[in-house]
Amino acid sequence: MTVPHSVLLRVATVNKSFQLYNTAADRLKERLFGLQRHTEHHALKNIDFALHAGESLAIIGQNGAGKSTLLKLITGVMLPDSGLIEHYGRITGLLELGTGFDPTMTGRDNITINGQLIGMSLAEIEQQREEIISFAELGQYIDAPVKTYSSGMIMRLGFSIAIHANPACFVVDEALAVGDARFQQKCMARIRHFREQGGSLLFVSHDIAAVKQLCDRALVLSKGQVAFDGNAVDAASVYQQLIAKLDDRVSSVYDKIFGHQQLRFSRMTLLGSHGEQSVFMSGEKMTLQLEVDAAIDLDDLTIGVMIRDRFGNDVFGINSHLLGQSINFKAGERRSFAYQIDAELGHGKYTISVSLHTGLTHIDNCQHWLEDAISFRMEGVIGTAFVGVTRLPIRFISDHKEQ
Amino acid sequence: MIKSMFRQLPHILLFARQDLLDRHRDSLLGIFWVFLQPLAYILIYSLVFSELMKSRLTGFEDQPFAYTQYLISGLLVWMLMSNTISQLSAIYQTKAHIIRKIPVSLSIMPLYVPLVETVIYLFGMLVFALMLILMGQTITWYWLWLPVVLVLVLAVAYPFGLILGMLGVFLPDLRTATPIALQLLFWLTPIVYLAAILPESVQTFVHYNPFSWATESVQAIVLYQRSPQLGHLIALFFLAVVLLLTARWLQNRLEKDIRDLV
Repeated sequence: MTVPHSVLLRVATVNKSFQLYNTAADRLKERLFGLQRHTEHHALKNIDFALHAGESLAIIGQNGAGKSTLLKLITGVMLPDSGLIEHYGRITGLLELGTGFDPTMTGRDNITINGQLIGMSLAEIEQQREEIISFAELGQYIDAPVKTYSSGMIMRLGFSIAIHANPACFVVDEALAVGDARFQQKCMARIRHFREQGGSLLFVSHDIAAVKQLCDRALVLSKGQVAFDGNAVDAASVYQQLIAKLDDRVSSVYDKIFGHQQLRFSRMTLLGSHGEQSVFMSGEKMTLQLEVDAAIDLDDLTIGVMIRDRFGNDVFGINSHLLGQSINFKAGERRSFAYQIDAELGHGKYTISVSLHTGLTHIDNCQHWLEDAISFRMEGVIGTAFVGVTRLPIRFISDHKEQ
Repeated sequence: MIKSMFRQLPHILLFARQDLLDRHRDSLLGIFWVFLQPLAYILIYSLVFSELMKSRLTGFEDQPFAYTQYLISGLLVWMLMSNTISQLSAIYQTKAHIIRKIPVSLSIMPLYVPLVETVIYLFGMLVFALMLILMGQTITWYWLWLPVVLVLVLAVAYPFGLILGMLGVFLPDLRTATPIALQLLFWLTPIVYLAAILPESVQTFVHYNPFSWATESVQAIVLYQRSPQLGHLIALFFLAVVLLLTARWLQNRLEKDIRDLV
């Protein structure tokens, strides 16, 4: 496709700030007459990197870190304040997903429109049209107006056109998250194929696992600056530390508190491989440390824990009684306990509720109940990828011996 | 500039096609809707004004259709100018969904607007010419001036529309005001009436109104069968140069902000 190691995209000391004005007319007054009328938001500061042909680079960072702005500058939709952006070869991708689609026209006709807009020639479009249609899996609907399509169908058609435009560098952003899981995996497979053919990739995502799978290299953006530029695995851990520091910390506001509180939780912490953290990867070891203070003597105490998903569904709950433990407290005592959990959970947000009571259930003598005491997020996978809420222990058996 | 224009030619043609054909694809009359607007105006104005104005066309007393010819020659070129300007004044909103996604040039992408309007104008003039021939008129060599007038008119209307369009990104009022101002200008340009019926003071204004330079040039060629006034053409040329330079200066100054804002 291209000579290896030739530079495909160069971003040199690029700065971009957005001026915030009260009205758009104020902006015009400043541009034309030089009157200072704005407050400044520095979106990108001295961004510097190059993408070589055949390389795949991920850009990761939190919301507001400047990822989208950087992509817009790279594709030329926005202009930088200073610095230089050069590219050699066609850069297209999911940013342009479905651009220019005319809802009253058929999917087939829209291939021509979108294809031309992203830079394909009519000959190229004709040559690729059947491939595009078959990849998009729209069947007979390809001849129905696009306004009758679901958002997933539009995404499928858009993706199919974009990848068949045969760019030198393909840009993938969060738009890939639209569409069902099966088609997403088909897209991923197609992107991998594109990589194997020697195409370059620019991948903007929160999905650390996908980044590690697809990219050799990753840039971590933080507050408009490059916080890290290096191999994807190291970048992922830099990113994790970054969000652990900044993102929703262990929540201190309890939604619901019940119980007599003669015995109470005085402290709780959620630990992972990087110490106290709120973002975990599937398969990571998670430790819930609990400290209990007792004001009275109490025997046969039970400490319970419940993990719920973001919809409030119980995912998993257990207590020390079920685990065959009997705990006895003396007045004035303070003791520490810990649950060690293999966080075999799927992507998303979860909460942990904890309880202190006697006997098997909290109905008997509820001392302290903290509803949704801690929240955490699952992002990325250690080991085998999977879909769903949890990774069950599983084996695959075949009656044939595969090589 | 030329290279970039060539590179974006497929986009320009695509947008022009969408405007001319695709928009009317589902309607019964299809593309003919595009030509029905000028036709309706011609019918209305000829019916309403022909009796009023006929006597004022000195030297044409024996020709019953002289007023209609006068009207059509001015009206078609007016529509070319005013449709181009009013569409361009909102162009960065009309095509915002494209500008946000694809690096199109702010000054070249809108070329599809004058392209479409020129097609409509040429079609109108073709029908007009056929009508004249049917009525026994001759198409004179002076018609060769028409392409010159056409190029000058577009060279004025295009940058003027772009200037309004660029400023309109910051001042939305401008987009609302443009069609109203054009309506006003229509009646300040001798298209429906003859300049001669105006009081002296208004005539001076009409004399300096660039739109009347254009309409009078076409009226001269088609109705009076003579060359357009050289003064008008030269004035249009210099106006075009000034407007083109202004549009370019404005684009250099505002492009970054326009792209941030749309």
